[in-house]
Amino acid sequence: MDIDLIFKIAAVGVIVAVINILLSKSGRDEQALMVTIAGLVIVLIVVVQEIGALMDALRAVFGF
Amino acid sequence: MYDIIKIGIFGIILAVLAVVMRQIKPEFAVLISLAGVSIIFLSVISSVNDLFAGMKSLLANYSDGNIYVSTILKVSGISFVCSFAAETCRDGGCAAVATTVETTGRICVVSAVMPLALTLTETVIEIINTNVF
Repeated sequence: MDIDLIFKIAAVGVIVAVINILLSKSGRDEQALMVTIAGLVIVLIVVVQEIGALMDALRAVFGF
Repeated sequence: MYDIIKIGIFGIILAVLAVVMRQIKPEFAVLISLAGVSIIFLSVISSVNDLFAGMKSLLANYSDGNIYVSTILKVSGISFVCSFAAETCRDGGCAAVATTVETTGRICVVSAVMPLALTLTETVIEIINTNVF
């Protein structure tokens, strides 16, 4: 079981949150938004691959 | 299937991480639960495959047994996908999307079962026509 992926997603979330706070405290709100969106897209790409694997497995097992 | 202890601990860790992430960045909590669900299910899907193979071989001796088993499998797969997707939507706060997904799942289940229902009805009508009078 691949628990590293969960910790990676949580780590990306924490890093994005810290960078977001730092940037918005120094008055660069638009860059903070960009960082949030970039982190979200990175994690979403990983999760979409995982969901794709899940759906392929479901299609194979349940015979859709 | 003795992985259940591992899966239980994994689920608890997942829930704690998701709760913590919801405080910091709510959008990452949904992604964590999505990834966790797919990891857990991918780890048990091989034994599910063996189970269904056993079920198919059990009913292979009867005529049309394979069709019934494959319908059952299809329906259970549809309901799993629907409940998983709907609960994820509800976690993210989109109750309307979740309800729509559930309704669509019900329609899919009914259309998957419809051939069997037609066969049953035809059999019943045949029995009534031959045996009553």
